[in-house]
Amino acid sequence: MFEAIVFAVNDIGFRAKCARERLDSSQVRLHKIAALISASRYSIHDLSRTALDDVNSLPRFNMPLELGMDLGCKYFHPNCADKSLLIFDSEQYRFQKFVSDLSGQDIHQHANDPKTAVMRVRNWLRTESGKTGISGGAAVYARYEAFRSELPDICEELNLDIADLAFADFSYTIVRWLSTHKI
Amino acid sequence: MAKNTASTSKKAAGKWKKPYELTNPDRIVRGHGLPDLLLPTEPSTIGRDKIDAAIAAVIARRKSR
Repeated sequence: MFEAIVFAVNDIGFRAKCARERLDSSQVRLHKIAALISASRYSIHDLSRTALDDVNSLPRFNMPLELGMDLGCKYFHPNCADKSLLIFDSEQYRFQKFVSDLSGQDIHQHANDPKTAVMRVRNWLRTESGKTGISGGAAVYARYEAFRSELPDICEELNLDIADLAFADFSYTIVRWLSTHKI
Repeated sequence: MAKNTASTSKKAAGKWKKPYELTNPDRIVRGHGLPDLLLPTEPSTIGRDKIDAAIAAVIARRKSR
């Protein structure tokens, strides 16, 4: 899901940013996230992974926290009023059980289906950015599948473990792959 | 010297970063036929040449099948 969304964002012509791209341990994680939020006009928040932890029976709440920071940035910083957020959850109205204050917001469902997520990301970026000449969601997803089928071989060539690919390397590989697989 | 350092730190701490400011605008990849794509702020640990070579090798291998 995450990889499909990162690919779609790049394929549509934007740069995907993620707190995981900076590996500097001296930086506080929340500071990294705050910096990314203030530098990004468009943000995607996926609440679908907010689920009970098997060990502690407590929900993982990082994504709702980061969404709250982003909403705060949009509401309180005058220069960020034009921020646009895409909020995902897996099922309709599920979020109301743990962040009921979001009721009234337009939350999108991806049903844990990467293709649905890619199509929604594509439509959202197309509408919000006004960017023209963007391929349809199905075409973007087809390109993602082509990239994904080649990624194991690319990693093998680079002696990299595909399961342990750093975000910067993954993102860089997408950008270079797109440059050699022009539409 | 200490005074200068303190002054610089205070200035840096009080500076609000311009929203949407690109941290590395020089990292724009051009000439690929797509809208400008910006590479991650943190450079890849591998390097563009090696990634390009790996992608080219995979393409060549698939074509030869």
